[in-house]
Amino acid sequence: MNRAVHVAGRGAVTAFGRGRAAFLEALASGASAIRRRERLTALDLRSALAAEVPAEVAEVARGGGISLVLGLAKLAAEEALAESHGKTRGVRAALVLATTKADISGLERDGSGTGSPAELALQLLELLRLRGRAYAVSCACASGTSALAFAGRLVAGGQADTALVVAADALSAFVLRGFDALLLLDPERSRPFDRSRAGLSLGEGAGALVLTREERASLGVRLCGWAETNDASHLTAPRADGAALARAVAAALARAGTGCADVDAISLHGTGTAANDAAEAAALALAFGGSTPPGFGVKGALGHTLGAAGVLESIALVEVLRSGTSFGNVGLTESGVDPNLTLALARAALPRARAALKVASGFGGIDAALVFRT
Amino acid sequence: MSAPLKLLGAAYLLPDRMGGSRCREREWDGPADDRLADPELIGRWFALDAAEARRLDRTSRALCLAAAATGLPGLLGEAERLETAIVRVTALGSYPTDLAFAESLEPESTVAAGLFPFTLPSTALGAVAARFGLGGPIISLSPTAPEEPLERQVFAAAVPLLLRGEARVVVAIAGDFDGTPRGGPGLTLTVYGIAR
Repeated sequence: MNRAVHVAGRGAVTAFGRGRAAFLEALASGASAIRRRERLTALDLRSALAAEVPAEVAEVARGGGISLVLGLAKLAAEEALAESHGKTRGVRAALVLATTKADISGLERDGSGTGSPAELALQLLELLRLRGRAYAVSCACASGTSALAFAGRLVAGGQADTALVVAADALSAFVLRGFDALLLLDPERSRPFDRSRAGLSLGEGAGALVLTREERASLGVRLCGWAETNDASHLTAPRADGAALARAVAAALARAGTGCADVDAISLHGTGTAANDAAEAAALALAFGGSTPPGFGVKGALGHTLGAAGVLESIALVEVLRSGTSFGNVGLTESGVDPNLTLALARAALPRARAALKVASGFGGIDAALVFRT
Repeated sequence: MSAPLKLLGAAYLLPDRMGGSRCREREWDGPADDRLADPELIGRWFALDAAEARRLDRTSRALCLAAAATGLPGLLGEAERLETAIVRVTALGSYPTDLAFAESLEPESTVAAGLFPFTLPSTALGAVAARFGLGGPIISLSPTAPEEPLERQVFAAAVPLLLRGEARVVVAIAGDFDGTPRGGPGLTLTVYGIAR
């Protein structure tokens, strides 16, 4: 069985505020939400910056005494469900949660969370009063992208009629200090793909997408292909030649029944680290056999939201297909990667917007690619 | 399951013994014995390079050990390895490593930077992929159906990869090997190599 997988709902909570409109409008304006941290200020780190959700949004998210990450996931999910008019409320619905660290408040002596993705998924299922099966995916920084592939498989394969994919992570001292210890934090705002890039800025948030077989619920965009591969070379550094990510792109396009020439835009992973951005550009140049369609990343605006990134970036890509306009790359002044990777400096109308590619990578050598079509 | 599948190999780590289709059963004293902390021993058993093993966390060592014990890596040609997926259902995930990393954040301690990447449950699967050159999808799942055996949950995720042609072989891993205050499914780690 291989049924079409339609996008039916979108929800977001980011450092730009609550709701996908705030997120997409900020992306369109070229703004950055990376600023001096207001929480976790006592930490002495290489960078004092992060993209935190606004305090008033965090307060709403924590309503009822739940953890911030659960609250962010709930807000994003509710927005996506509202847009999809409750299409996931049947018994053949699935909740697919993506996160890297879930709620680790217990490890930080600030609560009881043990970092279990399953616990977070089951708590969310209960909060949303959804029937159906929950799944919890944790695949490093590719978690959100992998969760969309997982959900696509469920819907396309007939195991579920609809899937609510929710991806969420919240900033913590644990994660900030970990990335700081690896010397991966840029002391300034991260500038993915720029010649002067010096690392990443961390962010937090949640994204949600409803995927369904119901064509009548479609927002006019389908998830048509996905593929995941592994570098099988190093646990934290990507393969410099990008071969595994290029394989993922080729396989996702083949499964979508399309080719490189049909791709009109790319949503990039673009963390801002020297190695990641160079490898990603090499991979895309390899996959496209030269110059690529215009690519944009959002981590210069949103920070790296870790497990949430893949879904938030897919929401941006869905908007590109619906509006026919690509976003720019915040923080980019001069490309410092393979020039075959076409990077937009600012928002620009596309000559055509029928198919788009999302790529992601993560620790453990993980690479993933998704193909969306109108 | 609509198509016949082949079981290529299997292995297990139990509290008192370990074994697999590649090796004879061996006795061990489980995590308390902590042979997983001895990379030299693991190296002698399963030809893992000791220096390589030393860089891994305990979970990654256990998974590499169990994957080697299936004998699967020796059965796969280069093309098959490139399309071999790893899927795991784990209740503990990286929790034992999370605890160790969190301890290193205490005042007067030195941050264990080398442990941080292993505080993601998928990194241990990446270690298996890197060790054996497996280039297919890696999927780490946390079990959300307590009443359902972990094996069933992992096969439910693994089999569609084979049926849809997203992988030619899947290393399906169920369970955990390390005791923690949270308990969980017990000290049982099983690894299966399945193919269409």
